[in-house]
Amino acid sequence: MHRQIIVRLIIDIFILIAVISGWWQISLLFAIAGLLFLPHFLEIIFFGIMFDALFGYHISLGIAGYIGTIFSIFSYLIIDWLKSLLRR
Amino acid sequence: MIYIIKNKNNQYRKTISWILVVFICIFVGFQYFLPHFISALFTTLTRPYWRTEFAVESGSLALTTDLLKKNELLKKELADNAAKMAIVDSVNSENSELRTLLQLSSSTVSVPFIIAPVIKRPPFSFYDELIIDAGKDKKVSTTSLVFAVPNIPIGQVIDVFDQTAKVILFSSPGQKHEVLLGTNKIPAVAIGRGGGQYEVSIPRGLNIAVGDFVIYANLDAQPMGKIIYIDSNSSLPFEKILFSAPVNIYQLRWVTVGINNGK
Repeated sequence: MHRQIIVRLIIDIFILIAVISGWWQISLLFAIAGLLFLPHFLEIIFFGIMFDALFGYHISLGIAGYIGTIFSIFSYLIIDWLKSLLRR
Repeated sequence: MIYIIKNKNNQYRKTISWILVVFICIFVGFQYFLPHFISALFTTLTRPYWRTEFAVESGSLALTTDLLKKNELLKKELADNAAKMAIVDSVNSENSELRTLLQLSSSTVSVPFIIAPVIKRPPFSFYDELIIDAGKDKKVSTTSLVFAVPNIPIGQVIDVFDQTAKVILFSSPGQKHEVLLGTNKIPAVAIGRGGGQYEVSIPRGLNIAVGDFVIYANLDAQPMGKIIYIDSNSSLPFEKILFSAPVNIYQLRWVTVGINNGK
C-alpha cells in the first residue's frame, strides 16, 4: 500500500512537470500508465484540465481547446469501466 | 434469510461517479460564467516555473567569463547591425519619399509595440501557440498582433492575463489568411499547417517559383514567408504551394507585440 502511494506520487510529479512544460506526449504516456496500474487515477482529470487551462480553453481553438479535459474524463471512465468488467 | 451483501467497490465507484458529475457541472459553470478564471489561475501558478526555465535557457547559470565573452560578441554584432541599419534607413526614407510622390499609402506599420520574452513554446503542440511574459500590465490586448524580429507577423494574442498572454500563431493548423504571392502579387488564401508552415492552392501556370516572397494582404504588405516547395502535378488543375515563415518559430525567444492596434 505504502509503495503504491509512492509510485502514485512519482507518476503525479512526472505528469505535472510534463504538463507545465507542454510535453503532452510524455504526460499522456504517464497518464495511461497511471490509469492502467493504479486504482481510481482521478488525478488525470485535474491534469487534463490543467493542460487545457494553460494552453487551450479559447474559442478560436474550437473543440481542440478542450481536448485534454475531454480525453482525461473519457479515458478515466472507459478504463475504470473496463477494469470493473475484467474483475467480475 | 438471505441478505444481499453490499459490494463496497461498487459503492465506492458510485460515489466517485457522483463526485465526477458534480465536478463537471462546477467546471462547466465556471467556464460559462467566468471563462478566464481557470486559465488565469493555472497560468499565475505556473508563471514562476516558466520564468525560471526561461532564465536558465537564457544563460543565467552560465559562467561569468562565458557571459562576458558573449557580451563582447553581441556588442560587435550590434555595431555591425547598426551599420547595416543605416543603409536600410536610407532606403526606407527613399521609399517613403517615392510613395509620397506617387501618393501611395505608407508601407510601414507604425504602431506602438513592446518587446516580450517567449516563456513557453509547447513543442509539437496541437495548439501551435506561444505564451509571452506580457499581459494586461503591459497593455497587451486581444487585438494585439505579434511580430518576430524584424517585423514579421507571426500571430495574434487570443487571451490576456495579468502578466502573461496566449498567442495563437498564424500557422496554427486550419487558420486561414489572405496573402499575396510572388512578384505579381497573386491573391490567395494560405492555410496554416503548424510549426510556421503554410499551404496555398492556386491554379497552375501563374509563374510562381520557389524562393518567391509571400506577403500578408491585410497587414500593409508585411512579409509572411518564402516559398519552399511547389507540388505541381500536371494531371491536376491546381498546384499546391508550401511556404514557411522566414524565422524558426521554435527558436523564438523574444517577440514584439503591437499594443492597441485596431486589427
